[in-house]
Amino acid sequence: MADFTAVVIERSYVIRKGWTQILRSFDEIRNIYEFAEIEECLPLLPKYHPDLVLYHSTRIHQEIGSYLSGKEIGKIFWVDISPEEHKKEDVPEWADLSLSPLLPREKIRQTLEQIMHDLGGETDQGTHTELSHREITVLKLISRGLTNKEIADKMFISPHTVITHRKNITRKLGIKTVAGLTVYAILNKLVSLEEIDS
Amino acid sequence: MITGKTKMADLIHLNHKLLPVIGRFGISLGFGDSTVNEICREKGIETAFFLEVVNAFHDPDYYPQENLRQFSLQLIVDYLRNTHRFYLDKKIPEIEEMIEAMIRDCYPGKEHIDLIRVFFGNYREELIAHIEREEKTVFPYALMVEEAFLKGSLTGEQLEQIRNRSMKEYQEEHNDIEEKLYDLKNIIIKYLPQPQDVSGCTHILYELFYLEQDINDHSRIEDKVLAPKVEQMEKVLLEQYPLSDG
Ligand SMILES: [Fe+2]
Ligand SMILES: [Fe+2]
Repeated sequence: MADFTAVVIERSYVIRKGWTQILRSFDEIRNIYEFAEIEECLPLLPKYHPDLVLYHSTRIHQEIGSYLSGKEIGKIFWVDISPEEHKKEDVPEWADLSLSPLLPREKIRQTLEQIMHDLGGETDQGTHTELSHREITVLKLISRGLTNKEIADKMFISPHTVITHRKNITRKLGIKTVAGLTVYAILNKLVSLEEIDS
Repeated sequence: MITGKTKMADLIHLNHKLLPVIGRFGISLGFGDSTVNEICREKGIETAFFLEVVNAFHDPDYYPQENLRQFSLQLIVDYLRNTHRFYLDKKIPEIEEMIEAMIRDCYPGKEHIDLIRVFFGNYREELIAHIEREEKTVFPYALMVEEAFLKGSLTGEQLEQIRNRSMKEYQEEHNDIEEKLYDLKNIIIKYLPQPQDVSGCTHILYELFYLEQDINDHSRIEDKVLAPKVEQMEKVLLEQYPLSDG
């Protein structure tokens, strides 16, 4: 069983507790740390080694990148939890995914489940060859000829995350090109010929 | 490093993948204790060029000799052109035929299997476009640079060409032409339904492994022998004629 550490950074006490409560319902998550401000949290990241950070950003935070560069903290999955519904297809530069607290609770749970699944998939590299649900979705969209940017917009994830998914798909299947992935998708009935021709 | 004094037999023991390479120079087995120098002289092969090619194949970190006048770029270009012909006229039709046979004998009645035919057809188009670009643009450019370098003079037009599109740009755009072959192998090995006749599939896999490796080595001659030589010549030419259009 996976053993993840999560961090929640959110000013509002009530909303912060809400996120913590959802995270606590996952068996995969062992430790949860809460912060009101990113400044309090950054110096502690190398110590906590989180796998997942949920962050409600209130201003531009280029300093996240410059602060963390060169520090041995491993790969963190950053989730943007700002509630701006009207521009949710814009995943900020620093985030892997946007997840609004205004979404239905069941939808939030599903997304977090998928994140846990993907994080788990990356820990046993090489042996784990089954594609995750998300990777299958990405693969289908690739076969239908969509670009990384289009896939990102459709799935509400960042282009950076699409690239990560593509790398994992290629590693798991041993297929590098779009044409090759398309053949795989058809042989496995993930897409039909008609969908590709259109 | 392989030198003129290396025995040809030792060269093959060192790296048996050099066998098809020496074959392309018209050298066949049975060389006894002869050295590279001796065999090249006997066969009328430019030794410096032969050494450059086998060293580039053998050592991934090999960087060509500084001496630009050792042998003509024309030799490299001819060698590369010959290899292109070998792919287009011999290997590709052979594999196409094998695919037809595989579809017919191993997967009769299986829907979707002609996807493989379409896939390889696309690959063929890609390879043709890649080769065409090299033969129509890159090689003539390389020979033009060498001509100017050897003459020690440069027309305004040639200088313009060097400034507009250097060898470095060609090299950056030089894409991995063997990726689709890698994919095709894995599709056949891992993802096609179980064939009725396994041997038909085995044969085509050998061919794909061979072609992928060969194209890979071919690209290394382009990247490691041809391109660096042209770049060095460009550098000398641009130093000699820094502002002649000013
Ligand atoms: Fe070539
Ligand atoms: Fe090439």
